[in-house]
Amino acid sequence: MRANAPRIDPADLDPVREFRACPIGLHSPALEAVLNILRAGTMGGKYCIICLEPHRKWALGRLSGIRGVPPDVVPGVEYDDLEEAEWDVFRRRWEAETGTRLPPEFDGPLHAPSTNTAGESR
Amino acid sequence: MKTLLGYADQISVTAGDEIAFRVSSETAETYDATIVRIVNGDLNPAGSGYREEDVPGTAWHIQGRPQKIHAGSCIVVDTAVPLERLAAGWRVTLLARPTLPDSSGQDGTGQVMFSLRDRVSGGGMEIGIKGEEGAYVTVQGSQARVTCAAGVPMRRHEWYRVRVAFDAAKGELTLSQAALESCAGIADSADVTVACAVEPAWTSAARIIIAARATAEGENIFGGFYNGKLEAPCLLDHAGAVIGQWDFSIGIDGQDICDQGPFHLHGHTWQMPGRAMTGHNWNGSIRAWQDAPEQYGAIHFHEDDIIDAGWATDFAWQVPSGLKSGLYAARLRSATDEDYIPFVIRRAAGTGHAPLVFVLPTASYLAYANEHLAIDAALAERVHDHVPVFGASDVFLAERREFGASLYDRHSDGSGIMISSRLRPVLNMRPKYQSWLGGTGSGLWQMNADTHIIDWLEHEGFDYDIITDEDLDREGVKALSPYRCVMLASHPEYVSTRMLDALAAHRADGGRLVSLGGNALYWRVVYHPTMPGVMELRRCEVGNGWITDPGESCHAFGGEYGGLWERIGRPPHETLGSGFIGQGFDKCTYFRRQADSYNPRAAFIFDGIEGDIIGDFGLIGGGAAGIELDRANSAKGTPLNTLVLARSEGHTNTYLPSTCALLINYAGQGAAQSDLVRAEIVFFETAEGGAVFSTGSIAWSGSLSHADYDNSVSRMTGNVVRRFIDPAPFELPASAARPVSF
Repeated sequence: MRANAPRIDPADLDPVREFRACPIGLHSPALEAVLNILRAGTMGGKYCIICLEPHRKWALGRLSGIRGVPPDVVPGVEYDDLEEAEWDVFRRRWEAETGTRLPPEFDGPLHAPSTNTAGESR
Repeated sequence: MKTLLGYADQISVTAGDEIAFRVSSETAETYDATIVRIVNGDLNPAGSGYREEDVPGTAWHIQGRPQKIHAGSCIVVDTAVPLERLAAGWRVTLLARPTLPDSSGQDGTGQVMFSLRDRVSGGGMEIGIKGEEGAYVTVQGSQARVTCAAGVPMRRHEWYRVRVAFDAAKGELTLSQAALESCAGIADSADVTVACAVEPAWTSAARIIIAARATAEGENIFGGFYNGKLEAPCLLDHAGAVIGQWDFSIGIDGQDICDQGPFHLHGHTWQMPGRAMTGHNWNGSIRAWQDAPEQYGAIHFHEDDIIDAGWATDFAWQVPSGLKSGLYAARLRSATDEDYIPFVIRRAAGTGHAPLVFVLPTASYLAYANEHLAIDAALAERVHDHVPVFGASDVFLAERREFGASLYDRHSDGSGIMISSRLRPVLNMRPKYQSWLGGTGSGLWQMNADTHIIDWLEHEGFDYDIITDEDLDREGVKALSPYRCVMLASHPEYVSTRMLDALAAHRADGGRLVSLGGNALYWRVVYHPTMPGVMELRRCEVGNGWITDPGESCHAFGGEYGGLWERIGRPPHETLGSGFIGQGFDKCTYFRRQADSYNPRAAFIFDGIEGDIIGDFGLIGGGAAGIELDRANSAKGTPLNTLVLARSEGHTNTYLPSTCALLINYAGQGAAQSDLVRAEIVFFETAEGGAVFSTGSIAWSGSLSHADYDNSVSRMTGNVVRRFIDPAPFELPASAARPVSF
């Protein structure tokens, strides 16, 4: 962390709730600030998403940050919903940045199992 | 994992032409090939469904073989050197401006600036740079080698004069590395002499290679590529008489390399290094290389330049008559992979023509070819406000850099990639491909996004032909003149002068223009005059991903000044009624009808459309308004009789002004806080009885098929196309002058 770099207040969970409710879309200034912090940093080790089957299955990946070295798949972390993947990356970054585990209210799946998020409404 | 990769020798063919397909089966598997017509390349289950149609009678079963790509540029001198003149010794001088001076080359054996060696035995000499050792010269004898190195590293982006001499009688090898401008506290110049009892073991087969060395792997397989600029290499004999003196300021716009010496040791460039590059003597007063070529005597070489993969042909196909004009592909399938090699079939001359022509923007496909932005650049996630998603092709390209990158990417030395080519597999120019740039939902971009338009044209039953940018650039208005209406695609961002001229001439002839995309006709590009499928971009003034260095804003191909058409003096607003204003890439939104839409002149456009909201649905980001947006601006050339029919709203703060629209930074530029970044649907009639309709949004085409094609976006597009192919002339309004609200 650079000196004077903006930090996230781990006690302020409103931006987390907002992101969980709408991972992609219009964000409040508070959530934008959190996202800008979480998305900063160098490319080495940065999370990405690897598509395993189009519109069906994705895996968590990490960029190498090294030219010519492809992203690695993080073993055992797969998704059947892209917004779930987006939330999982957010959660991992938020917890790493703040050194704080999110409380149980943020556990569990993002969407009810019947929700179709693969198509237009996304 | 990608194991099948291919490209075709052509992008546009017609009945009777033969098209050749070049394939690498990385695992040497057999594969089946079939020609298919691509109707809809979108795999999204929420869409209208992927659709391709087999062309009967096209089936090949082929034993595949791996074919390699050997990236890296250099100069090959074609003529044998009079080695007898070098028996007593020799000297070489050159100027070098290294861009990766810390590197000892891809395999650690040096970045070779000048070599004269036997390809097989390696006997001869080479001059290069090697990280901390700085410049070196090596004499390779039959049994032993001697190297003389400066011992001090070069600084990046600084010019050096390198001189070497071999004296056979004295048995001495001398090297001088001299910075043209010294830097206080840094010792980067040196003069070194070492004893050298070894003589170069070259034979009459030895050839001069500049910026690389010959290898035993093959006649056109080189190694030890140099990164940076070289200028004025000169080979002299022991007495100082010139043997070869290469002047790169001659023939800047071509691939030939001219030797001014007495033996005519001419050469040619390999994999097209950058020419029209400022030399050591560029003084800042010259902006165009044609005005003072002597200040542009440098060539910039890269270890990762790739223009032509040079693969052998696996199979060829003679296009039969009677096939519908369209987007086609050779579909390759093996046990482990599938690939598509796309191309266009044009309607054959003399067989009539449709009233409508859809121009497939293959220049823009080339600009984005094998784009690595989200792999290389940290900006990607912030540009589109979500985590990048990579498919198998992206992961493959991240590892296999020899397949080259796009005109948004940088070479390994950090310089911008200025030349792109389709003579290599272009993995993001494919049906089924999803791009991180394509917003949420289908995630389509460029060619695959344009299949949404083809799918719609097919569903609506329009009679249309397809041509490519290459056809337009080569033939000019002749390619358009048979057609009453020209249709532009989702993102035809890159156009040449000849393409713009053709569109202007078509309009002057009463033609009509429908633009179904966003950020169109934005950057100038230049196609290579003799190598079809090779294109250059000088990204000057504002840049994007990278920017040209000072003094290097004119294309090597033909010399035209590069950059934005708006800055060149032909803004897209003149042609389309609107021009690029900003971009987002997360969610797309909708348009709201404006007062102009109720003008009787626009009644035909809104026939059957109810309500004020247009396109609040779609496969690209969930709406018809998004990704990259254009709006009207009379100050930039939007005709004063333009009707602004609808304007987008509801964008997120990820939508920000384009750099050309942004003359100063200020807070609150995000589209949720500012109303600057909006798409506008515009319409105007031309004085010649034609008309122009532009949607100003890349996402538009993703909404066409919504609700089984029965929706406001489809209806509006159909209303426009039906009227635009109707020969009845449009009439200018009685008074073109109107209050300028844009």
